Amino acid sequence: MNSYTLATSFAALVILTNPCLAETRVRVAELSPTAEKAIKKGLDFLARNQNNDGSWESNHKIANTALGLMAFMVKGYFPGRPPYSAKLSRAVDYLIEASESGNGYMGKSMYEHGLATLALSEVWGMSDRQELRNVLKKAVSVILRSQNKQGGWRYNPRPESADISVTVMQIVALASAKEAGILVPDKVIQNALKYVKSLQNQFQGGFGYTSRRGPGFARSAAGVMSLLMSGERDTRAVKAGLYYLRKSDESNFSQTSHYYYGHYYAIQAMYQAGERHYNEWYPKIRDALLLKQDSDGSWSGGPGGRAYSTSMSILILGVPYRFLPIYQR
Amino acid sequence: MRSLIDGQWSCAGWSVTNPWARRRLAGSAVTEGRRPCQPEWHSCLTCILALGLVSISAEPLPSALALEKAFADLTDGDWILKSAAMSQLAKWNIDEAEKPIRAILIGKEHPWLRGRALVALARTKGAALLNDAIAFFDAKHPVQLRNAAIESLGIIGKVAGEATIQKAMKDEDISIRRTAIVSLARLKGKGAWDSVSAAMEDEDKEIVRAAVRSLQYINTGEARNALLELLQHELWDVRFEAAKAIRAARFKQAIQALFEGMAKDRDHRVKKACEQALIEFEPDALATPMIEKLVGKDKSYYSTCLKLLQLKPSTKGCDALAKILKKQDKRYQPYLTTSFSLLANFDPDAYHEVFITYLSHQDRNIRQYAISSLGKCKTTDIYTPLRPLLNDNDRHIRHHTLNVVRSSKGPLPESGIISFVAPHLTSQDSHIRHYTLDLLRRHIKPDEFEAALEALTYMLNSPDKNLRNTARKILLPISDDDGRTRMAKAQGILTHWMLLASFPTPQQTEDTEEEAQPKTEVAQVELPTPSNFNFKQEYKDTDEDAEGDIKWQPHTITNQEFRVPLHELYFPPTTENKTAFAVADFQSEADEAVKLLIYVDDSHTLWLNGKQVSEQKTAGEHTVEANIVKGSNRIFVRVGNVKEWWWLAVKIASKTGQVMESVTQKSAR
Repeated sequence: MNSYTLATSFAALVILTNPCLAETRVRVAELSPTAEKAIKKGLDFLARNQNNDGSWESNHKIANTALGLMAFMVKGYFPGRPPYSAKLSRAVDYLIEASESGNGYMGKSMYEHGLATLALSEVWGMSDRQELRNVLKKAVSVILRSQNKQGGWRYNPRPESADISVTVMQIVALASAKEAGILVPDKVIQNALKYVKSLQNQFQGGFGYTSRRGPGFARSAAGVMSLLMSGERDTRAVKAGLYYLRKSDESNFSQTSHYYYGHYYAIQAMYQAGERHYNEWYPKIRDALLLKQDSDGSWSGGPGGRAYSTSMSILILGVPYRFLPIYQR
Repeated sequence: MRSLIDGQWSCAGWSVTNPWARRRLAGSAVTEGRRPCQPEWHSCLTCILALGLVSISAEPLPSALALEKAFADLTDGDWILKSAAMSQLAKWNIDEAEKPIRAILIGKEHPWLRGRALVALARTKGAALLNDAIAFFDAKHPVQLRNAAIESLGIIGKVAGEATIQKAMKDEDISIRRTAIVSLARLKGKGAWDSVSAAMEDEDKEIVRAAVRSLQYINTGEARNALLELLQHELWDVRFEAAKAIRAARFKQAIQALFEGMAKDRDHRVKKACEQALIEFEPDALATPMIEKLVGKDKSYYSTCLKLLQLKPSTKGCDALAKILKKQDKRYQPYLTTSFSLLANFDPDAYHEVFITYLSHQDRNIRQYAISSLGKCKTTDIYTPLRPLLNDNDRHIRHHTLNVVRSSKGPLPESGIISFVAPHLTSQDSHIRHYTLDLLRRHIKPDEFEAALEALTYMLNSPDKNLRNTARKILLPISDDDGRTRMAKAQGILTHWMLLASFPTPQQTEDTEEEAQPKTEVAQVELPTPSNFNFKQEYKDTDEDAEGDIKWQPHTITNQEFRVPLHELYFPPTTENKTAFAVADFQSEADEAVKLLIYVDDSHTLWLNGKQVSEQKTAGEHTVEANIVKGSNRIFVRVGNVKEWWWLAVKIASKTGQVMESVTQKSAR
């Protein structure tokens, strides 16, 4: 363990055992005071706009709730710990209820299901709620059963077709669940990664949606992140993918298709890829996001409403906090 | 009596899928206060048997679909369908069928159909229908119904019905008299012998036939003897009825006579009836008389024996047949093919020696059948005995042998498939070549790569692209990196390279020396450069994504395309508008004129021993003639790329396009 990791771990340990210190002790070099303030304003916005049932927004409620939950957790606020304890517990309740009513399947698409599984996996390690384990096992079971022959997933919980976007969502969810102690066969992840690699354009390094053709920024960010998160580092696929992202148009930082989604994965990919990449990338997206924040603390423009855009922005800006296991190297 | 409401139909899931049954199950359960059970099959069956609800002798339970169809036919079908449905429901013993069948009986349907309803009810209700049957014999009823009443009395089998049957024996209608004879025999058994034997002397042929038929119910020694005698009757239909009666009575003393009938009767219908009577017997009961006939000298029995053995095969019979065939007696020659098929279908492995005996038979047809039969073996090594047939004089036999081997599910030769096919890979017969290659493709295993490569090298060497591709398809699935390198070598492709890349390709200029130039330290690598090519000392790579120094690096071809994949090796960073340099050293045993086949994407310039011999701006296959020297030679290539695919392969061949064994290559540095 190097000194940097040791220090980070120690900081996290102190904060987790004393939540009151969460905001004061963690000072990471890349997190400017302005960004920290923006995150606080964003979280306040989310806290003010949570529905009574614990969810966020009126559409894509499962996905928004999962993201909202993770936005708070990224800064070290977990259910059962003040000051957002009650709100976050209600959010977890909402997801658990969704699991019960859907017999393990949460939401209306595998996007939502993947996000909810990820959020609950991240909560599980920090929660004493025993029922979460069963919910997670059921959620993972749905994902495992829905993997198609190519190794990927699509919108519906059935082993039919596949695309890179839904597939990466499930890979991340499975990786997080596995980290949380849920049994996930290695073969499932391996097959999924094989599918992701099959979508990489061999000449540009980016990833296509359902084939090698037409690589795009957001899907490439997702593809590279899934490979890095699964332990690939210096492979040709990862190098080529990172190359594609780094060579993509600078204007992507201010505006691009699937802006929040793409940068949510891109920043994680850069973080996983190492300091050279991360230090180059983070300031650019941080500054771009700060410019986009509205006066009420929210962000807008994402497909899931203000809660979606705000949660995603906080997740991107908050990477330096490193509270979520999924954000750790 | 079977009852739907007791739930046994639900065992097969029928009540769930069949609305008709669901209604009945639910309705009956409520009205009769019984709970429809849906237990597992076995426990339910046990329960039903324990309750005595189903007679052990009843026919197997019908499928839900069959039952549904029978009930549908009962109400909606024509005469034939209704009749068949009633008969079937009676056999299944379904008590819910009574009501609709009784409705037909007392309804306005045709008297014949009503009569069939009466018979069906007699089957299921037995004695309970006795009075109804007697009543329907009344003269006021149509003859078809009266006839059915007599038939029913025979089925019911109660003494109380005898008086009515005796009355029917004297009825003016011949059909009723005929039925009465059979019913009397059913009712009284051996007690009907006098009446039946008298009927056999009747002038009316139909009465005689009925009498013959009724003998099956008497089934005494006298009756059996009579039936055996009747098999020799001059009238075919009497013989026919006798055979049918014997089939029903089934006594072993009849086997010999039936055998005779099947082999020699002059009427094919009687022959068929004898055959059907014979197949009612156990195979072993038939084996002994069949063997006796088979070893006898009367050939007219042979085909009958074989047909019977085919229909009712037995180890005893087949063993005897195999023993006969091994002797290779010529009188069995016309029956050999049938015999082979018979033995091969029964147990090919047990009789493989018989087939092997005939593999060298002079008759092509017999050889062919022996090969096919041997091919059905599942545990016997067929490769060894069939190997000589690949050199058979008859090309059809050769092809057939390979076809049989290709479709064999038996064990592969212990020495591997290569040893079997190798001698035939270069056959003049294109079919043989094709089939052996196919055989190889199907059965080759990774541990046979070495031998397969040796056997297929002639194809990899070939100027014929199709042959090369076929060999590749066989070898690639069982090859590893080293194997693919050796496959490339076998095709004359240079496999070991030193590579230096990638450099930006500047604007096209007249001066090629300025086009792409490595760093100082790279230029110092000890690799002699072509005399007209010099690295620029001050080159500086401007690509910020290039990682580390650009150095000469060794590369060995291991991919399935047998080429140097520059677009993979040097991406990222970008491979667009880049240039790579490649050096390959090789040795020649003599000074020779050769052909250099250059496969490249995109542009290239090639120097052989310092002298430029080829330059092309476009991608593709290029061939140049050049001279190599005895000892060490060096090829130096510059490969330019515009975008995407970027690769290189160089093959050295003789002037006639053949791979040169005199040219070898060592590993790159």
